[in-house]
Amino acid sequence: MSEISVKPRRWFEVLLFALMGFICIGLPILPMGLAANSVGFPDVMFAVFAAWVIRRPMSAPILAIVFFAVLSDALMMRPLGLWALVLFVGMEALRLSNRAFKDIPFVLEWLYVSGLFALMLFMQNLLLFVSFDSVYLLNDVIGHWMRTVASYPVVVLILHWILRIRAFKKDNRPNRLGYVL
Amino acid sequence: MAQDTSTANSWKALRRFLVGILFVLLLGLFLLSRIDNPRAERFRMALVDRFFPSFEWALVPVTSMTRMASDFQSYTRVYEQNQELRRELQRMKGWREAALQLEQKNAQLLALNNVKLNARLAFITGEVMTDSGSPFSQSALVNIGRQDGVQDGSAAVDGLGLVGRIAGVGEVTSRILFLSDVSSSVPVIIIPSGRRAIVRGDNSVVPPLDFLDSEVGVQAGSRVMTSGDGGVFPADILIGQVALDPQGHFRVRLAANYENLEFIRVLKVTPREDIDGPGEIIGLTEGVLDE
Repeated sequence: MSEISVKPRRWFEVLLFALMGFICIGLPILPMGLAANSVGFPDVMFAVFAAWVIRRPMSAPILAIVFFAVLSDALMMRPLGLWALVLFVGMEALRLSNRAFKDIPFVLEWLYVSGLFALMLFMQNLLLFVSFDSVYLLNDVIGHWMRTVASYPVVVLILHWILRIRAFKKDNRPNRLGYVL
Repeated sequence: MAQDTSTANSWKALRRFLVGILFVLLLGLFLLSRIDNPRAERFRMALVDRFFPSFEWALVPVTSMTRMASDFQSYTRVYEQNQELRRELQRMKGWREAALQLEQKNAQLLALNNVKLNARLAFITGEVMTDSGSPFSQSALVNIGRQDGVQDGSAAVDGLGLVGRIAGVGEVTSRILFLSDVSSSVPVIIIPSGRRAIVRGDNSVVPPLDFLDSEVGVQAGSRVMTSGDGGVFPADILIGQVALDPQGHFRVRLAANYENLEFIRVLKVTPREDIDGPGEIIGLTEGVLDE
């Protein structure tokens, strides 16, 4: 019974994920105020993808992540493939450390994600530096980091209450060694 | 059960393989964009051309909503604006008179001298669709492209002054790199002192003046125009006015209205012809040149 009900639900979530990907690209390029010096938009794509990968890694396919990352690189005039690479590696890191997020308070998750984002921004600048490109100014990077970190709880609230993307409760099934955690 | 774990294992191995491939592909894409930038930019513009129109249906209502909101804000100030405009009109009438007289005088002098002027600049006007949306780059997309005759490197101006240059042309869209972007450097001349300098973007709306050859005669309020050095921009397009920042460095207060970019003109300039030889004058042979 559960097999039958889980499968369509998962495909529905994948579709929802793709929709969110397009929204994440669309939001920052909305012409809310066409001004050269306006405050940059937070990296909602990172926030949404990170929150999603932590909650439902099965319905956040890597191919979709890479596709949206490359597309947003192209549309937002960033060096092609750079942030896509960093985002991809970051999401895989989140996926690998998935177990660490089981039943921890949200504040800890938030701290972890902010730390990861800082590391990713650092990696981005490092890659730019070693490829002899001009690196991003520290002030811009810090402002971008703060805005994105501040937007993370909002994104999680939307995922949790509106899209119903929630972490699975701890299940009572035995793991592969036969223990019930 | 055993079969189940073996398929799970092979699926895991396949996934690990896929992750590796994707990693290499993305790294390759980044390296390609660093090594062969024109090709990567073409790829980018192809992607933008392909996907941007599908965002446009979402952009249009939001654009009109924000414009309506800002229009509504301006209604509240309409009386003051009206007064201000009347005063301005009064002043402008005086200027118009002066301009007419100058124009007549100018025409007379030109006729006296029989001067051949440069061909007028042609331009195409486009609408700004969106800014880059990234905190690190200062650029915008406009809805004119190669079909309309936009070329890489053309100057883009709004009604008041230089906005930036075209960096990236698609079939129907192109990208404008603002003067304020960190990768933008424009050779300028400062009027009336005639000093030359470079306006280098630093993500602010008052970019600094670099490589100023001498500070003599340069003061706050002097006009900054493109000098045409380097051949990218035509000469004598207004950029802005010199301003002094609290540290005493010269900066440029840009004339273009960056707060409200709606329409942008892209200048079409026929390239200057270069004179590359002495011509075929009879008698000017190798021997003569050697002497």
